Amino acid sequence: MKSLVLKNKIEELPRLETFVEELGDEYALDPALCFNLNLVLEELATNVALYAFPKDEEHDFLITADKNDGNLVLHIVDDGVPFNPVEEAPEVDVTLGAEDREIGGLGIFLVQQLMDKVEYERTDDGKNVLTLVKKIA
Amino acid sequence: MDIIKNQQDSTITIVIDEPLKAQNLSELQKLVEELSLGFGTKLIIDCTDMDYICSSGLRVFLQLSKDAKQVGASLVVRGLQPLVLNVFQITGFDKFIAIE
Repeated sequence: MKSLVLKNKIEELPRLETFVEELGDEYALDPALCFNLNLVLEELATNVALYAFPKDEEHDFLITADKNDGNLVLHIVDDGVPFNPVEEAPEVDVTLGAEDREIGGLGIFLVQQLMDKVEYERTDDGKNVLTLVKKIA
Repeated sequence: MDIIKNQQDSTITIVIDEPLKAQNLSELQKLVEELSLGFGTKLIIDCTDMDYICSSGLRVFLQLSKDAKQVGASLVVRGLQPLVLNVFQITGFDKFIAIE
């Protein structure tokens, strides 16, 4: 299993790139999946860094990755305010023209499109756990 | 990143020659603020050397598209790399942005 601990600061986010590179090497992921993982993890980690905690508090949050049954399984774990991105995400109608498209909601929509499964759980000990699953050979 | 204005044929070209990430997004936003789109302006975004786009980057493209439509300017995105193009397609941005 690979893991990465980040602080809730935007300056921490570039570390995701190195992490995705490591995942690519470890699990022999193709470049297209690495590209998509960068997009997905950047989006989700940005949300945690910006919104999960009060501005003046420093917290760690955790990202883990593992290969299980031909799937890449990622967890993003934080002990911030309860937030279910899957439920909170607005519906995105990709057939609409620019004038009718909302600026928000794109990120989580992309995450859902690029991963096979996105599940949220709020644990009894007060953690947000987001699980992402993507089939790899 | 750079912006090239051609008064003669009223085209404005924004060249994004690096991955578009949260960290350098403000640079693009600054260029966008400098734009004065008018009726008939042709705005070209050259993405030939942009090998990544984050979702916040996509929002800038959406906003530009809205702005252009509002004043009667046109927007063309040029040179999208395959994986970036895929993101435009998944999000349906290829439906309202002309991609060359």
